[in-house]
Amino acid sequence: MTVLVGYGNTMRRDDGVGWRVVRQLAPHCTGVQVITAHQLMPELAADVAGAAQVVFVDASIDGTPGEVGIHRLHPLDRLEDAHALTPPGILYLASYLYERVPPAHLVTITGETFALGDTLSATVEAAVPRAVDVICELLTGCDKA
Amino acid sequence: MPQTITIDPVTRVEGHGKITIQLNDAGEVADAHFHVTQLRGFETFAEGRPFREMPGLMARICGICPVSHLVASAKACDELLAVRIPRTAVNLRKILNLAQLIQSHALSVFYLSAPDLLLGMDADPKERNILGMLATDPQLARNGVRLRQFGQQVIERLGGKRIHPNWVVAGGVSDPLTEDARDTILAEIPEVKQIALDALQWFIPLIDQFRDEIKVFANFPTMYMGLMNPDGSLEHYDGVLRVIDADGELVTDIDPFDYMESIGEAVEDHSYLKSPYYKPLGYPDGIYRVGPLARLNMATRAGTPLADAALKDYQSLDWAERQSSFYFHYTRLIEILYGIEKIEELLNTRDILSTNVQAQANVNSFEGVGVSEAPRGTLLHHYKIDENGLITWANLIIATGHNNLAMDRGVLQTARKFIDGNNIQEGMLNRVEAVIRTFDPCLSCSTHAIGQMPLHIQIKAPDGSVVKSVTRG
Repeated sequence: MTVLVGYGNTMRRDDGVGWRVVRQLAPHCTGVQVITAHQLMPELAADVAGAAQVVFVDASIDGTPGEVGIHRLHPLDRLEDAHALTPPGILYLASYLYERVPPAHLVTITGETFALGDTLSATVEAAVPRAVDVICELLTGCDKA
Repeated sequence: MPQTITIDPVTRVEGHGKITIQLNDAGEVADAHFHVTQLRGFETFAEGRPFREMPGLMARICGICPVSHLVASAKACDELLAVRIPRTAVNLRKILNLAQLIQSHALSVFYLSAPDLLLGMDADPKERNILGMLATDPQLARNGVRLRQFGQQVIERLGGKRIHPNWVVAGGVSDPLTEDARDTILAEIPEVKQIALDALQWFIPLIDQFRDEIKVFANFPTMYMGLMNPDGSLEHYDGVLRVIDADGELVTDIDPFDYMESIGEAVEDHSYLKSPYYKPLGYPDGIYRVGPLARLNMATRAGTPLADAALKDYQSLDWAERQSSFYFHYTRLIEILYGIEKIEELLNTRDILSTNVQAQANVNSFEGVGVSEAPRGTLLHHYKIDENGLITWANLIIATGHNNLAMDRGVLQTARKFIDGNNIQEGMLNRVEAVIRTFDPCLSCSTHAIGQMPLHIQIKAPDGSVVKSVTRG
């Protein structure tokens, strides 16, 4: 089972792009558990630890708006702050609590605006297909590629 | 010379609380208050919106208990339609509500309060958090994670997403339950049931370590209020809205539509959180508590086998002892067990896969009141609409509000026991936080802080000057 996690705040425009991407992908994937979340919480570690592969999808403030990035992830060596968990923090929890860390990637889409609103900017909207394609190449069980 | 300690909060804007403690000339605690300093304003946001938007809109009040608002709001909308919704829809809503209760209670017990319970109230605050808990008892952490995950997955399997599902609508639910989702949930029941039993076995031996806290953690006689089946068994969706007195005797069963005759809402200038009270006794004598402590102090039985046995053990404690809000923790764990058993029971009802899950109707009434039991207690949504179905007025009474008077009084009781104005220790501050945590107020949930709650504590001298100001987060 592959776990696909799209997270962010869908009420802050481009911050919700992770949700959009994973939901667009879901119909094309078999054997993939799609999870959407506003933020990463400790219980996600249980889902991640049981997965063969995990891909996190999030908006980024780094880079040029619409830019799609791929980052190979590794668990943190230790967790010093449980207030705001990151994907490597979730991998740490998976390792610590369940002694298992699947191969993991973070796919980012650089946002243009994080103002109040539930629509993506045109730039980020145009980047969604590219992000979908990138993730399809990473995933086993995606028939879109 | 006045001393000031400041620890800035690391949490977000939502969920800020403040405690002020007034000292007398001898440095003893004379008065104390709990303040909620945030303003949400959802009642006003609702005005002018089509009533069918209300469940989805109101769910946005909270990221921890959106389902509770969905359910209470949809019940109020059912009244606007003046329909009896299909039995399957009722049972599906109940399952969703119980799943919400399980994940929220697990958050409260395992993420927020377990560090105090496991490591001690006086433990180093650098370790007295979820990370310290992970290091000390990973299995306990795994159990908490699993219960949270189970509750959220049930919500997701029914409602389509873990947070803010829009599945509960006026007249029922939008989609039926699939056979695959039912079977998947049922297959997980034995595992999580055992975890809930293990959690009780972990907690019960801890009780003796907290005798001092039990004595003063909002430990005073109050009335209790909550939904209940007419036979006295636990209920979180239907039933009667019952009030019992401080001796456990029935006071009244309130018709939710007429709640305003029984519940008043006082406003204090030190807090944005209103203070509901039982009107016949006036303010503030009409103090009452809601939530798991209230529900399990009121219930004569849970209604499921394992929870019945757990409730019997709990109720073997003296009635007087069970007035301590410390026992919110105990009763949360019993309700987790009950929720799991009840979900299993509901999933096995013969028509749970029926596709008839929504009553179709137009507006037939211009006023509706919906009540449900949220994890933290009785949640009440009250709407009025015009002939076009637009909201003209809304009133919400949330569980944390019902408990406001008790939290305020509990802070004073705890401060009087533990605070020495001339020698303030960190453990004292933690106990003041911990008494608030027993209630699991919504403000702590919405801050997204794990294991800590942003509190601003002020100790004032008789002239009103601030002797000490402590912000924790």
